[in-house]
Amino acid sequence: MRAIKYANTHYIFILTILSIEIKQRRICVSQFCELVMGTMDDKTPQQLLIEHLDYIKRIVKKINNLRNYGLTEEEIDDIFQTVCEKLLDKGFTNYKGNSKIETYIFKIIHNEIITFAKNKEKKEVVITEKVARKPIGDDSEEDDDYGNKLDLLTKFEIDYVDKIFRKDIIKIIDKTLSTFDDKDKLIFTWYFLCKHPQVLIAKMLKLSQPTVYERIEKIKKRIIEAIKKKYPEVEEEILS
Amino acid sequence: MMQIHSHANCNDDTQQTVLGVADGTITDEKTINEVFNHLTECKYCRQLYEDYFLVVEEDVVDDIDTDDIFSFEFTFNKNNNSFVPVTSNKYILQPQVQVLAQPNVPVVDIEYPFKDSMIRLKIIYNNQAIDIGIYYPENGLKIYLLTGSKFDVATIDNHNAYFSAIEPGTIVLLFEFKKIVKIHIQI
Repeated sequence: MRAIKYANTHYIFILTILSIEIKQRRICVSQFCELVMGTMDDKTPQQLLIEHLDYIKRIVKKINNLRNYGLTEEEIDDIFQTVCEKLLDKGFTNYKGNSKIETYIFKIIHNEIITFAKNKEKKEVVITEKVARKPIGDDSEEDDDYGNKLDLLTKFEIDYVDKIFRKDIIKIIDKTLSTFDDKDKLIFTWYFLCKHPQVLIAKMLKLSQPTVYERIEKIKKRIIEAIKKKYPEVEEEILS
Repeated sequence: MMQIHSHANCNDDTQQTVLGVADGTITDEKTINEVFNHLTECKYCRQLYEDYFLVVEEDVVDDIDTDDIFSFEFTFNKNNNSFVPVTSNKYILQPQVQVLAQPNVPVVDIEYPFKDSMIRLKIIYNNQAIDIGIYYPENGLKIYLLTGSKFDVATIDNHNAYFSAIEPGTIVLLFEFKKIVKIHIQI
């Protein structure tokens, strides 16, 4: 009887420790199971790498195609090699367990491709002496966002060519944007600037598609109202 | 070419948290909102987050470039002391060539193309372990061996390279990280 009581106390103690772990690390059920069963911890970096070789190769190619980095087959192989070496060298020691292991590998691949593409672009700039080109790694958002917001004006069908007027409109948009909540700001960026479909935005923001649609309509309305406040002559039909 | 955003300002932890929200591992509302807030400010993490949905969520396994990966699977037949391919593969040579010094040792020969030439692998089962001999006409080719417990590198010298005392199971050979050869041996 005492033994059973002790075993129960022991069991409750382990469960308490695990639930604290879950709370602190904010992990999901699958990872809870991994913690209990020890599946992830039992695997060597080599085993994990063997299991994910195809995945790494595939993801490198897909990111290259998606972002149009223009990497050659040889360069893709180089990135594949670096990612494999990094995973073998440091192993999965930096893996915190707050994402799936595939997602963690995706992060390493993504960073590696970006570093590679940046270095490649740097070299190309030096070789071709394209001084006017934007420096790499420059995160100032003005230039490309300005271009994107001009595109946005076209989407809103505001048919004005005056650059000063356009700049003023962008200022109004920026000011209105600053009053949005984070989700609306992201919807604005992803829908109007990146032109992602509503289904994808809904997935990314963990919302339903009708909610995203409603939010888009509200965003449009608020921006138009802000523009019309200063420029009442702007037509209502700008909502496309 | 797409503009490349720097990720110098975001540390590894932040990126892991961002992706933890993306793949649904993190379900805590507060953290999710913190990540969304971060995404409004950090262009790199926003791209990372978007790319996760565009690449990983849409990932289809059929898309593998099969030219890069060769897979072979064998079982060991104790009755006639030989390896039996689980599925037929045009790169497995028949009949299997024995090792001259050890005539009773089971052997598998595999030959497949690499860089306008042919790589030949001789898989030998010896004392409950696997030895792999590699033959390639050009010297200097680096081959990485990966198993569940081992990581080793060999370089082709005199047209040969050799790995010995490998545990049966899944063995991966990476030829300069360009070609992947997966050999699964079940004893």
